[in-house]
Amino acid sequence: MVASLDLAALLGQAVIPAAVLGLAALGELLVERSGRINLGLEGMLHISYGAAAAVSIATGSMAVGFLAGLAAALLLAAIYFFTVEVLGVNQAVIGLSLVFLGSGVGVILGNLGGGAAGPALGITTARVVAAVLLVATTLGLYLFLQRSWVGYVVRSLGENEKAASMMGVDVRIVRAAMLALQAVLVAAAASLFLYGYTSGRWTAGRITGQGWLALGMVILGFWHPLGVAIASYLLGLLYSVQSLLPSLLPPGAVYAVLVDAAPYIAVIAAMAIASIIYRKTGHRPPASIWQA
Amino acid sequence: MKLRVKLVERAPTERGNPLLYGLAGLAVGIVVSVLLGGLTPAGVGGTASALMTVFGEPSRWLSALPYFTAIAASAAGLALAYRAGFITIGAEGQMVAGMIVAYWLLGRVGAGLAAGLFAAALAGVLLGALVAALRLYLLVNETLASLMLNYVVVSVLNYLVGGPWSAGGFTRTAPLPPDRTLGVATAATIVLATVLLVEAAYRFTRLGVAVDSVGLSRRAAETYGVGFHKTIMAAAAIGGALAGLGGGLYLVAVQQQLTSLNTFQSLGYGYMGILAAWLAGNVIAATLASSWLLGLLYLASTSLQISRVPWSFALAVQAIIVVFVVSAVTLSRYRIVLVRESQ
Amino acid sequence: MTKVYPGGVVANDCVSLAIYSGEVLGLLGENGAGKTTFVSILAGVLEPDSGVIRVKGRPVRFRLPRDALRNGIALVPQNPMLVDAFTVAENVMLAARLAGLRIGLGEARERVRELSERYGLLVDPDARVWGLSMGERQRAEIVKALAVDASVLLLDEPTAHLSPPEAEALLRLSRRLASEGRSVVLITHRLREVLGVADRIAVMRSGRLVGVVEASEASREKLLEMMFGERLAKQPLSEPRRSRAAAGGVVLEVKGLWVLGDHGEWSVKGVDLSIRAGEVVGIAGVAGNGQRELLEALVGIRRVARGTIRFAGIDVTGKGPGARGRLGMAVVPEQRLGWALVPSKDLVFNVALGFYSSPRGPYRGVVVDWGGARRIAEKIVETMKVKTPGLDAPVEAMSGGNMQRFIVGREVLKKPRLLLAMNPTSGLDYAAAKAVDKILVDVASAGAAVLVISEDLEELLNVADRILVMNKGRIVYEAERPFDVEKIAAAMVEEVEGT
Repeated sequence: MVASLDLAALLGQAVIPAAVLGLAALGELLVERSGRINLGLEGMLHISYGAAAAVSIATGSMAVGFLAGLAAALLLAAIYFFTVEVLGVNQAVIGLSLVFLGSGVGVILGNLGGGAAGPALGITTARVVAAVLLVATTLGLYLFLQRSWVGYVVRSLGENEKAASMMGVDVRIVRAAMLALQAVLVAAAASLFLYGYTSGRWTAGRITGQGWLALGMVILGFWHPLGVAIASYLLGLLYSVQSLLPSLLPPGAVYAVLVDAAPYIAVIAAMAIASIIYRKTGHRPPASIWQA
Repeated sequence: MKLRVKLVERAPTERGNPLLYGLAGLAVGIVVSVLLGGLTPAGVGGTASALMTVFGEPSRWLSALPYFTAIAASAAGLALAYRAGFITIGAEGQMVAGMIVAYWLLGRVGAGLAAGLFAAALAGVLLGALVAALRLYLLVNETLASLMLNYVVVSVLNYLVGGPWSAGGFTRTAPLPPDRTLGVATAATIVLATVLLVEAAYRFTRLGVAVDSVGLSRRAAETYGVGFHKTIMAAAAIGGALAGLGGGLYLVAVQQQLTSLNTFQSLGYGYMGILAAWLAGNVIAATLASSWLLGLLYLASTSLQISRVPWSFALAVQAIIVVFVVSAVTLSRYRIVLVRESQ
Repeated sequence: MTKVYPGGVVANDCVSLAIYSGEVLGLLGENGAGKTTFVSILAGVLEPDSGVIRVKGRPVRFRLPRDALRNGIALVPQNPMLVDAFTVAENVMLAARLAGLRIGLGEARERVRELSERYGLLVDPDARVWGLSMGERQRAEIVKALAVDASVLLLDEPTAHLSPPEAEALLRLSRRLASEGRSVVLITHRLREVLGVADRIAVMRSGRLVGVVEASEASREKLLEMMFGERLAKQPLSEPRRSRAAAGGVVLEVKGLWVLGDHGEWSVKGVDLSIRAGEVVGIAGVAGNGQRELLEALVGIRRVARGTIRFAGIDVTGKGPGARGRLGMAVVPEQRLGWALVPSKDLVFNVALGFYSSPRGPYRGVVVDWGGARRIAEKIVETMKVKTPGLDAPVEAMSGGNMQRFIVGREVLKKPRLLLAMNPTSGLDYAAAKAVDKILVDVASAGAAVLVISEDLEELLNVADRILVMNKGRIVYEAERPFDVEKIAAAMVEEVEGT
């Protein structure tokens, strides 16, 4: 039995996962444009998710929950800033450590909520909020990065840190600002995930993989806000299709593997295709990033 | 009058002793972890006593052997890869793949131990080589590619455990026959020997020169004849072999059956290996020590699980330790200077 | 002003200097004398350990380059520091905004056009920096400094990468800027430039300010004496190469070489080249005309699109650097750190790396003979008189001159069939430069084929048997001794037609 495909419903269903991925990815985009990679994104989402859950359940307020999520994300951003920018520790070590730190602490915080269901957004409201947030952030980042002089400051850091600092860019302040903005967007993504996708109910490990996928979105979106948003939406579509796949495919547990693994295989395949395209068109990411 | 704190770099010969700084970092990290324990059901007291029990009673240390075996197997290979500038996190997937292949050969096909372990290592090699190939020929970021493969391997495992290989119940398979198992001590010794072998290869053969030069100055390496592609592929393959072997050993010595895993937690030792590698400063022989430390920390946190402390607390503690130790060691390069400004 | 680097190197020792408006001040000194350090402090790039800067009588403190820019002090660095991916106008806008001037992109474009016309500094505001030649980038840097209304311009070795006519134009520009009331500080190690154009000349030696002379009192001999002390005042600056030994067979033969650059453009266009054993061949040319890409192709780290390279009788065009090293190729690359050496590793490791493919390397098959590597390192240090804290100290702890001695010594100890060197004496003080040039000549006398690619025409005039000139990717001139310097210089700057 094959269920009928309702295209409109699918497109609508994709909005929330797209926004979660997109917001997280746009935050990372800012950081990468300034010349750093934050591998700890996954950890930031986890800790934000857990903090928002615990506090929103305790206070009954989604707004306060968001603020708690923001505080948690800022904590990790601060650790990254201090160790990588001030002390000069390798950004890969810190990033990976923050992944585990963030997910571990995130679970601890989430558990404080006791598994109860906190406040949540209705499906339609959540979708509208998601769409608005994604579109607004994409547009905002585009105007910021490409059309404002401050955007040039940020991008110059990502292209040639030495030249930028000789011209007078205060490297630390810009990097700190980008990390702070990332924290805000991460908190927004995590809150959206909590209130919009999991209906206010926190489960350990539910948000796993979103951070990593978001890192991939930055690459697939070619470090451009619009590209990132589109890539995130496409992956969001894949998620909404994923739940339909079992009814579309012939029965057999083998296909269950494919369903589970679909997003991950898709991302690898997409990155491979994207990199072939990039090479042919001669594009390249911000010079300080992902050096081949 | 403003006071400013400045970090002034010290000359290479004037720097503080990294080991001392590292130990200081370790101490601070442990304190912070205990405080973090305050947020868990075990509380500060419970966390502290768990840690003290584990570190204070050497008789307990043998219980950490299984964890050491798995973590060390992945850490050594990762350290080699990181030295080459290849930031992979695929040891976890390679380990699980090793377990799958070993179980298949030993539990279902009836092959001998040596064959099973060899195949496990080979599975790791293939996965490692795949990540390297994606990176070298398709310029796909290795961190993400290796992670995605981890998830794919776990999906395959869950399918096998829940489907064709299930022993009823969808979460576990039938155990291995007793003559296809090993003692934990034997497994640990095998890992120890293998890691030392890799260290020797790194120290005394061209492998070390190639890996270090490629990771630090690729241009210089290539100019004088070091093959970039060959080196990365070698590092990835060796790391894969170690992790795969570790998975096979973990199966035959500790778990003796396959169980289904979730993507979040997975088996975990491959991820801990990442932390162990960095903690050891990517020095291969030193990963034995750091894996041992992380194994003990993990032992402490498993004892806490009875108090309903989540599994991921262990990883968080390990991560905290790494952050503090690495930061402290980096700090040894600087001198802290207070500057008075008259403006 | 005093500046001491970690490790105790006193870069600037109590240097006191006054700079007046409306003058061109020459800051003279050989490489390593401390000029760049001094100027970097003035521009806010470095912070002094002690000392005071006063602008128009007011003491100021620069923590960031931006602070200096806001006080009207702009540095035009030796190697242009522009953001490659941006256009000239975008770079100017960024610099202006950071200096506190509120201008937009359109205004920046206008300023660039206007300044470009007024001072004859031809530069296209909408050109992306990565496509510009060295000379154009230099001009863009100056326009950038002028666009932020700099009243003090610090030009660090501005003529280093320029052709003779471009250099002349730059010097004339300095005079013109000074006549407008600005201060121009010309940092250089070339006497000729400074004698022609400066009002006063300050000389630095080993971190100290030796003295300041008025242009009217300055003479070549006096300046040399101040720069080097008594010893070398009377000697010619270099010894020309004696007649060469009879040349042997052809070691390197390049035919019709076409190589692509980093941005898909042709960098090397149909180059033919051959070098015999015992010969020193020099390739002269202004930086950025394909020399680096040619070297990379000869080494084997850049793909050859068309043409062949034959080395020791074997076609190595498709082979990598390892194969070429095994056949006896040695390389002294353009950049010390990051290309010739691994900065954080010690001398012994860098020997092991350098000798990785050499038949004389400290290797037995796959196994490394660290003892042998150490012995090689010791020999290098001894023969080249390398000053280093120790064999186990990281190579970056050595000064530039000693690093270069080490690198050259290492390559020479391979007893290579072919030695490729690019700008082997850049940034070196006089003594080190002479030592390196002598080695190059000795290696050839011992039977090796030597190729020296250099921006420094004088160096080539001293060491080479034959000089080729590279211009826009082609070899446009070739001559043997005795050299007609004017023809060579002309070939370097002639407009070359074709793609």
